[in-house]
Amino acid sequence: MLMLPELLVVATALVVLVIDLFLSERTRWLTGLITLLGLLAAMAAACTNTMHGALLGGRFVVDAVAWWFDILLILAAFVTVILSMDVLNGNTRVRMRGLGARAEYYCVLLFTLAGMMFLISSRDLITFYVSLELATIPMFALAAWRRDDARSGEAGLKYVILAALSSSLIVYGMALLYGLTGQTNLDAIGRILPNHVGPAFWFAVAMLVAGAGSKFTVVPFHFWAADVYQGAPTPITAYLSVASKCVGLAFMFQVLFRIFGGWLHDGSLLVSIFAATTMTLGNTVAIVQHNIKRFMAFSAVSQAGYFLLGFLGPNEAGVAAMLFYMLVYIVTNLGVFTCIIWYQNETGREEIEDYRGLSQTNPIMALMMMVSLFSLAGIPPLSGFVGKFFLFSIASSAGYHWLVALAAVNSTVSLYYYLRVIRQMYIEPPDADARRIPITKKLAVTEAFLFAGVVILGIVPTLYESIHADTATWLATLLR
Amino acid sequence: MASVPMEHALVLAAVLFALGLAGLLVRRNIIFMLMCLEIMFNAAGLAFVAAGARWAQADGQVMFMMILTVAAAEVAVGLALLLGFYHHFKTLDADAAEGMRG
Amino acid sequence: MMLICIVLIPLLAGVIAWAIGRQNPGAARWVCLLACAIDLVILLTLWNNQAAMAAFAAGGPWLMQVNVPWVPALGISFHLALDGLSLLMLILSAFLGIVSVGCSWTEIKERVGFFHFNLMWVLAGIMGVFLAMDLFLFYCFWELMLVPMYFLIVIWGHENRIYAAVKFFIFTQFSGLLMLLAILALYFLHGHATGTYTFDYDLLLGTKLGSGAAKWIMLGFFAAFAVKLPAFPVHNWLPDAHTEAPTAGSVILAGLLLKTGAYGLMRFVVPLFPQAAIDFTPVAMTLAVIGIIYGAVLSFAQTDLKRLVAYSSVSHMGFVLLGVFAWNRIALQGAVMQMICHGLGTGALFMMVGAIQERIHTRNIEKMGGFWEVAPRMGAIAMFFAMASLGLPGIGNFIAEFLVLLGSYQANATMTSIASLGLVLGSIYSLWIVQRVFHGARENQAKLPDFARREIALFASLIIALVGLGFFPQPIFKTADPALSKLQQLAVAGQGAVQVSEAKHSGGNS
Repeated sequence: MLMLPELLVVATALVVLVIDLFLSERTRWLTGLITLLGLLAAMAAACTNTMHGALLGGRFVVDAVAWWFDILLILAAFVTVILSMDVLNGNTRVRMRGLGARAEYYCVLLFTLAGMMFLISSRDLITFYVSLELATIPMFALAAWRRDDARSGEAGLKYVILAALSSSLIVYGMALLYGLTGQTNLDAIGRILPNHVGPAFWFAVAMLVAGAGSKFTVVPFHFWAADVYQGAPTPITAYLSVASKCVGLAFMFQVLFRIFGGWLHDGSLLVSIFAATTMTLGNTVAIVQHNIKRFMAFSAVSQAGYFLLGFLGPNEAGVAAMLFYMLVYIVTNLGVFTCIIWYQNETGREEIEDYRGLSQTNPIMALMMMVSLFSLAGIPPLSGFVGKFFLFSIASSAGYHWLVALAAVNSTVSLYYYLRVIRQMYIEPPDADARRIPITKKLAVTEAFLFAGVVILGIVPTLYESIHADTATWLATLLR
Repeated sequence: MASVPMEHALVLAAVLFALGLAGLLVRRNIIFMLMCLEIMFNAAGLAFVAAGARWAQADGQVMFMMILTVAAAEVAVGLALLLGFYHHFKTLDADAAEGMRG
Repeated sequence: MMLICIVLIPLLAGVIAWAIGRQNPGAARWVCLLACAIDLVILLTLWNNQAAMAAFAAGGPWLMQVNVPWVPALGISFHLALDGLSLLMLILSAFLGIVSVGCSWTEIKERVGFFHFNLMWVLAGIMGVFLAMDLFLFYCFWELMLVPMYFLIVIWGHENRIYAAVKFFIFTQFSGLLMLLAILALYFLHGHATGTYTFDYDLLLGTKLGSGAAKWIMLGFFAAFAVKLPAFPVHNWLPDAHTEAPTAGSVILAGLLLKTGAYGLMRFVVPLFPQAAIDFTPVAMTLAVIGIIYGAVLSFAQTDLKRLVAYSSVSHMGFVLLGVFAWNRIALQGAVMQMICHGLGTGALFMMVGAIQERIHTRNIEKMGGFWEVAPRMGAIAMFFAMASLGLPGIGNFIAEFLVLLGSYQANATMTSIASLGLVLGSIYSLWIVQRVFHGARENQAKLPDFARREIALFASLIIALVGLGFFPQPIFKTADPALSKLQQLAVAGQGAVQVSEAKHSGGNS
């Protein structure tokens, strides 16, 4: 029962693949529906499972943090599937050509999801590594899904090379850890490691931190993000920006808390420097972008910097603050991407300047996009502000006031560039021949739900309270 | 049978890894870049085998198997994308991939 | 519950106005007008409730309050409370709300619904700021003011609006974040010291801070409030924002937004960090005096009528800063009075400029002149507000500035003497406006219809209010008094502490 959500996801992936064989071209849209149902079942299974425990001789463990990550990941995948459906079914004004078979797309997407879910639950080097690769390798294919688009292929190839590089760093670091300790259990490694500090240990630390940084787009390991985000099909960009970021955070949790938990306190200064450079560089480069997907890539990089504040200290509230901000970030970012995908579906455009006059051509979508962007920028009382507030307070309580000040400056800068988009939507007049841009029901309902999430998560902090309550003692068991 | 000391194996692994990394950074031909990645994975695998030998456990070798298969999958996807790349750009030079800037 | 309604009514009115504004712009205006009127009625009834006021004056902490836990895990609560100072500010807000809806009746023709949505939400944010007694909630309202104000400037503003709006936004946002930093620092220091982590104002009062920490945290708050006020080196955004904003935006900016800065100084900076604030007095007073003189001199140098009024705001708000940091009751009363009168008077001047611009499509003073002949009613009204601005006895502004100077003279005679120069300069530029615009030769042959009934009504209400304040200031003093005497006590306690520690020092030395 503990593994049921993961198993359901894998099963859905296989079912979709098989059923596709029996469907005609006209009924092939059903695969999307089946995927959604499978994800709903997985979500239900995860929600109803309140037990924590271990399976497979302790190699697979569900605890409070793993449970929350499962929920977040399924949520991200669910919305991504909805966002993909119009594009894949050709239900758009501007057809996106070169998209392969739908069933394979969903299947591959589900496999990455399964990999991500296994990653946070794994407690063994081998399962950890394999689930990491299961989460990453199918992603290459998704990024390059548009076969006739040179940029998509370029994005896929760059992603392969850079992600494989980071994977090889990670696996080499793991080999060193195993050589030092003779253990494959992550907790056991974390326990024994303090007796083996030496050159090989520091080498392993450097390798794993670089690998983790690359997965979580921490500067200076972020360089793959911009090209991949821009070239990938837009729903996949959305998925990358939330699910891949979420799994990056899960990876950091595993590495920083579980393996190097004992050094995290001493490493606070290093973490703070990474946080500072990440948010500053992400923000600075985002200012000059013209392509909205690339723009969102750098925005995502800078958001990664804010997440890192949660590792300072380290304290229990940090875990809850990071998880909560991840939830907020997923909802908000998907809110922005729903609008981007919708606009691309209807007009085929993705430059920031193309959004001019959106407030006249579709006022409701413009409003929702604006609110989501404000939430990303951290304007109260939206959820993005509340999430950031919690993270800032972690850094503040750890005594990193200069970093909070820098983060505050960065928030102001980020506001400036989010306002660039808003200015196009609200101040620039639409083209003379512009008419009202319609929206499909699917996207409208999705955006409405995400919008409600963006607003309500900030005002009603019940979810934060329950995350806080669930994970209050999680860290204490790791940091001895 | 005189066993190879672990240090020697680790040094070899480190040299291989460094070679792979250097190759990845220097080479501009994408096929060679993929090969260099393969060398890095195998270096890591070698380190695992050496470590497994030190602790007299099978885990190192199990991990090596896993690394082999995963790396194979990685390269398989990489080669497939490479074909697409060649189809578009008629070259395997990584510098041709500069459609996105900013 | 009443307090929540006060904030909620404009919020709802804004949403309704937006929803119906597309089909029926007129109805949107009426909805907003009604909402402000309801708020005003509620507040006036509260003010009129003698029993409650008496009980409050006798020593209750708040006239009224709502306190509901919001995020108990972090000690955040939804705490709204009302005392005399906030009540006065709220009445001013509701009143100027009516005025600003009224003055945009004909000026705003495009996207009427959205305009009123923004107007109402700024107003709600401002009212929230005057009510919030939880620092987290306060910060939320503080930011809530910004975004709609940005839109008001950037969509309905004049030529250079985008530059002005971005400047406004960046200045206020950044200083707001400094305040956030200070709030967090205060929260943790209080939490470490007492074990209860809370953002509640009542509980945070009297937090014992080291003098270094207190200084930095106080500066964080002061930065945010000084930008809003605006105090001298950070006033830079104001002339641009005021000049480019539509009339209603300028009225709200000058009449209310600036007051939030002054209110913040009285509500947070002084009570939370009395010691640090007292140490800061010389700097604050210098800034105030520089602001008074600098604003007056610069407004004299302007050719853009709206910019002129904007710089005069810098000068007038300098008196508020001076009053707050003079540390006695008279000056504080003067400062409160100045906040109210400046809100009304400058609001009226902006409306005047707006009305002129609507008619002749320029704000350049050099293209005006001789308006009295064609529009005598306009001229007379302008004359009145110019007199108010220069502080003619019998009008509220006179009492305000007089009290501030009287009070601060006891604190620092040199500074006060320099500040009083501001009054002289003020009368020069005020008379200069009237002279250039309404007398002299007619430069501009554009048609200039005189004020219609709606405008007369708006200005008349402002005139009545100002004259009323001039002759019967007592109710204001009485209402504000409990809050101000609390401030006064804190200041005295702070000064006492200084003296005691100094005495100890000298005792130790001797």
